Amino acid sequence: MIDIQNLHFAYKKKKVFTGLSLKLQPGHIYGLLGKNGTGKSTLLRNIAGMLFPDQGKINVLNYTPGERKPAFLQEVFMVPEELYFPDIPLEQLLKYYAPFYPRFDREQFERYITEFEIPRDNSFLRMSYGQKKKVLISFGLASNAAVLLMDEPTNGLDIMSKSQFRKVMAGSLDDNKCIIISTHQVKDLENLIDRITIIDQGHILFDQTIEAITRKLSFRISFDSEEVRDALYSESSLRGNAIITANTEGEESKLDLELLYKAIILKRESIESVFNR
Amino acid sequence: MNQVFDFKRWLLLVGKHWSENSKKYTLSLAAMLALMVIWYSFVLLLEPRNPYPEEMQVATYYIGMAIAGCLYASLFFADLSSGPRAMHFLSVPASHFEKLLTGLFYAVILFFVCYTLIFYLVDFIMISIANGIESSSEARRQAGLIYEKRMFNVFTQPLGYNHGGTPLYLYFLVIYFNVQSAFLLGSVYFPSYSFIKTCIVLLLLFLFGVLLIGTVLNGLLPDGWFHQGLFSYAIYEEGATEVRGVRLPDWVGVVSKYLAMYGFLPIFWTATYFRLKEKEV
Repeated sequence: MIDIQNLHFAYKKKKVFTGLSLKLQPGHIYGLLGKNGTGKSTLLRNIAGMLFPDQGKINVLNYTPGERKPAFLQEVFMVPEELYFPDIPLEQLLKYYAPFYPRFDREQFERYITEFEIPRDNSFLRMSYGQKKKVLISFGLASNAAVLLMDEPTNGLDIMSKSQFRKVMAGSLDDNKCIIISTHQVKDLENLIDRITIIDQGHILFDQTIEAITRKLSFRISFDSEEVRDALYSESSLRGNAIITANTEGEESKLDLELLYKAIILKRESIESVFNR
Repeated sequence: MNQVFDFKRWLLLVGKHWSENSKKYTLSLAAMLALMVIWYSFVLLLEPRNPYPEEMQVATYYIGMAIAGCLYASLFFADLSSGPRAMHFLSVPASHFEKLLTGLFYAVILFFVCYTLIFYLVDFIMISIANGIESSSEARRQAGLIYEKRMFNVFTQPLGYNHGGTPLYLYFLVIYFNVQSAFLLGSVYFPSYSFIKTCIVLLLLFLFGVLLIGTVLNGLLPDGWFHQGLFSYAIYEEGATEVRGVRLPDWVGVVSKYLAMYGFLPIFWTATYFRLKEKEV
């Protein structure tokens, strides 16, 4: 569905990607994680055709994004971090903007709007940032575009909204859709994504499915000092020591995304060694 | 589905643009109408007996149109100057050609029609008022000194002036549309202050043209002067009783004239299209 080959990209002299390659398949929600300024938004914009690669190729549904053909734009919807929607009421948004998306489902949109508790008669100007974001997310999901790109979608959402967001997202995935969520708030994506891609300094540090991660790694709280010492990664917390160990017994544990993220950033080699076994 | 132009999709884009900008456009048209009424009232106060001669109406129409039309064109693609707005604009599922065509429809055609309607509405009302004031003077009526003002068709030859068989208003229109298309290109090219920057670029191009003719061409040619345009040149020879001249074939002049009049529009519009295509956010 999305095939990125040897992507090179730079903002004038500041190199962001130097040969990044990545393949993304439909039917998954991908979590694109990384520190600020590592190129997550740049990657999404390259996929959306808003930026053009300096070198390399991007293929999205057999289209070259940079050409921005209407058929491509119908299939790719982006929810940017800094969003803009014209100051019109929701009804007008549906009347004038939705027809551009041939598979737009009004009922679906209404359902999401209800779920997010968005007042229907408000125009965009009167909405809070979080409400605007929720409308845009609802619109993107209801457009039924094959590729949905979300850049920091939980920024500006309150605790309840984040929970609503996870619920809505979990129910919206089907076999034909590919959803990519870029964020540095890793906790917000727990129980939502099924593949994690971590970018750092223009390279992919880590790219695994949740299923593979939970099969190979074990996440738990430990009070055993020996176990803590032998762990792939450990971190002291109020409850004890949060550790990651190799899952040799095939036990089930709850993935701690934030812990994993820190482990990959700080102890990448030891984590990788488990996956290379 | 055609990826370059689809009429239904283009209509959707035109409708979308209207839904997003209708308030702004209605207010702008009202402001334009108000400004024109103020200007006509000012002229009436200055010259109550003959406030609106042909020249005044023509000048008001064309100068007003040039200022307002170029300003509007320079703002048309202003969304591209801000990241989130540019992303919204570029990600609407329509082709670059359709987006350009929407720009041309609003900034060139619809603006021209609306401006002309507003001009004639104000022209009609103000001339009626001026005639009413004039005819209310009993003394002048009795003396037979009533001077009736008439609306002037700005698309006919004004002032009895004729230039090489081409009516003057046609030159005004052509210059206006050419300059406006440059401002439309400027709105895509310059992310900020596009009106001012386009003005500066056009001024520099004009100065460059003057410099080219005044310095470079004059340096290449023998002593003399351009005679009846740029395509015939009279050579100055000391002591000669007759003026000798060089004249390019007539067709060169005709082709150049039509290229200058109608060639810039497609060039600027094509450049706008490609600039839209290569725009990044």
